[in-house]
Amino acid sequence: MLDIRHLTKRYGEKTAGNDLTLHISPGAVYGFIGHNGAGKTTTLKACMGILSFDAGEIAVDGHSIKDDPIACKKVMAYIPDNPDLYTFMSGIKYLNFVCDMYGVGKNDREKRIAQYADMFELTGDLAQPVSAYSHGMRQKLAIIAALAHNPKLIIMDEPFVGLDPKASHLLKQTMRQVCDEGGAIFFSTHVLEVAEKLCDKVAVIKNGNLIANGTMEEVRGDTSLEDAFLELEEEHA
Amino acid sequence: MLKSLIALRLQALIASLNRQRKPGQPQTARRALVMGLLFVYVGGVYLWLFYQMFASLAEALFAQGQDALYYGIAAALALILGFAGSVFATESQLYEANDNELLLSMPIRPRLIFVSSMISLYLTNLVFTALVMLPALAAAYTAGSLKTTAVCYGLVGLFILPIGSLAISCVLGALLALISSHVRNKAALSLGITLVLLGAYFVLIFNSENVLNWILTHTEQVASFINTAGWRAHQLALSMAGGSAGPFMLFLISALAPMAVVVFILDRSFIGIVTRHKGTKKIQYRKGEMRVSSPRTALLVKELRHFGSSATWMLNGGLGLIFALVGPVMLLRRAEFIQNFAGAVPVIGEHLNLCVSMYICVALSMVTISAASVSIEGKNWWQTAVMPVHAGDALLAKGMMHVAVGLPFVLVGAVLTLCAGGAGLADGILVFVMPVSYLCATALLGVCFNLRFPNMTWLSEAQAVKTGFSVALYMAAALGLVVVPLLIWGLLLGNVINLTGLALCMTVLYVILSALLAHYLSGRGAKVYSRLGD
Repeated sequence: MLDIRHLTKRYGEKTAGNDLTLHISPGAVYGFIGHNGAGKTTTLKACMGILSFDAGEIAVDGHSIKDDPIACKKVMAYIPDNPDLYTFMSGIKYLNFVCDMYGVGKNDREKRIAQYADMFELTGDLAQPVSAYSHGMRQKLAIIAALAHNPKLIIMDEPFVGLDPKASHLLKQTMRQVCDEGGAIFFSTHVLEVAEKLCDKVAVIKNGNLIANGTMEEVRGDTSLEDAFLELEEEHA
Repeated sequence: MLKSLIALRLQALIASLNRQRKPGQPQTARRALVMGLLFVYVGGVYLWLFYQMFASLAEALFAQGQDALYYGIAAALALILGFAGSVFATESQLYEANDNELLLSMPIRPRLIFVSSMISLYLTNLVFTALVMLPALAAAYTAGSLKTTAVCYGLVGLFILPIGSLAISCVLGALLALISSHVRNKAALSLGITLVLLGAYFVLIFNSENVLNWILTHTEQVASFINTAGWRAHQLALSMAGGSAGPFMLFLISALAPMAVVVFILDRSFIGIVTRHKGTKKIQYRKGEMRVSSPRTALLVKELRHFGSSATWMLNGGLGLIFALVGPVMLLRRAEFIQNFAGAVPVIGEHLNLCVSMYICVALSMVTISAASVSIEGKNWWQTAVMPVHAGDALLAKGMMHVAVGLPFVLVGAVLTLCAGGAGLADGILVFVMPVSYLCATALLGVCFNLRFPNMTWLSEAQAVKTGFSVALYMAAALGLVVVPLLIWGLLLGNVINLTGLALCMTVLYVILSALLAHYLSGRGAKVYSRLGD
């Protein structure tokens, strides 16, 4: 579903991604962890085609993000770390706009928006302008917008930040469900307990270098993911 | 602390005037030179306009010994201009700045936060005041009536007057912020207030001849009015005309005391104003049928919604559209006068409708809607970038929005121009086609300039739509698209082709330019847009 090969991205002298290679298969919840400034957001943005990269290749569902970004974006959804959404629209108008952009049919959009808005308890606020939404409500709206067009791959940057416990629980369930239905999820997080429970595979990045990558069992071994992460950080200090 | 905050505000002000640079990219001397030349050009135009106005007043008023009245009018005008130019900026930069909450969360006294914003606003106000006071002094000098005392008091007054108008702007800006926090459609409120002010302005302009005559024949009443309603301006005028220090001290007190009161009140209420919560009633959502649109239509509707939601964008970007109607309305209302005047110059008299059409194009050069359309996306840029839509379509939607907003005004202007009569078939068609093609070309030109010089990291919308480098560059280039062909025709081709031929050539030029710009935006421009996140 998502093939990252030898991805390299530099900001001047700083390397945010150094020869990264990752493969995310359909059905997998793939966690991406690392310290602040390790290169997680850069990698996720490069996968979405909103950040250019210096070397390597990224393919989504067999299409190159460089050569055919539209085909890639048709099957992807992105939830950023900070949901800066169009504040001049109401929630429902925003969702309708997203559906228009992805070419979602009338019946499908009505069904999915109703389903996910009810699930995340946002239905009552959909007529409100986004400018009146709290951070958590905007995050929920971004999640509903991502799910509304039934993407094969969802890329999420710290998706649990700002969500209340119930919404956080629902999101984890939905992530699992998306993958059980053949989709894939690639997300960054600092909440290692969540990653440990939710992820099938995990990649650890430090200073732009991939220092661990594999199934959860392979990466954490006999310890917890937190201990394994701290050990890896120390080893590659 | 205050020094750091002032430096921060000035950095934001300068950054808003300049092109956004990538980290580590140095400011080049060439770019600084272009910027400087542009501001000299724009400032020069305004200085010249005010000089012309004061020159006509100076001759008559100094001859009547009405020196104080002359300086009173100048000071009152500077105050009004400073106030009108800063009331909305005060609201957005002082009370609704994006960084207010962040700064309030820091161990900084609120007073320092708003004082630093006020200093930035003061500098903007100072520019407005200088645009009036300097031409007034120059016109007095040309009339041979400028005294040394007038220069001294006038120059000191130049720096004090903006403090007075800023104090009024701060109070009204706070009221506006408080009222708008309880109003759902804030843009409509701001737009309504400004249109009322603008309406008053145009009534004044349409009757400027009568107003000037009235001033010159009712000097005592005007002097008495300024003495009471514009007491502060009157005191400055008395000291400039008579050279006495007493009125000047009164002027100083009258300007500084209200500001001291404003600072005192804001010191106690600033946090309350900037952290207030909206008290509007929640809109209940009712499930209904959803309208399906194509991506291109959805993008256009999105751009229109964005434009319609921002009073700052509408007022600053769309003001030229109202100016575009002034020429045709003048042609209808003063048809006889204009036709008599134009009749003296055969080349104009024969093609008066086309001349008005060209005027419409000049007014459209002030329509800067698309020149801010990329910058105004700010942090929202990522949304269209992650969607499966060609970046060229997203850019063309911005240009189309500019056209969609401007087209009704252009068509009404063209119809009014034709209603004045006298146009042949060719001129009649060109009256419509030329401004429409110009509107399309400038709409796309604005997007191109903004794409080349974006400012995605603004703190208030005003920085994106009002003071952006792309906006200034666009206005100069758009004006050049009308003026340069006219100059070439006037100097070289006047005897070869008539005005109809020139209008036809200009139309062809605008159509070709539109096609080239659309091609650029769909190709290379789209790539630039996709890389805005780098």
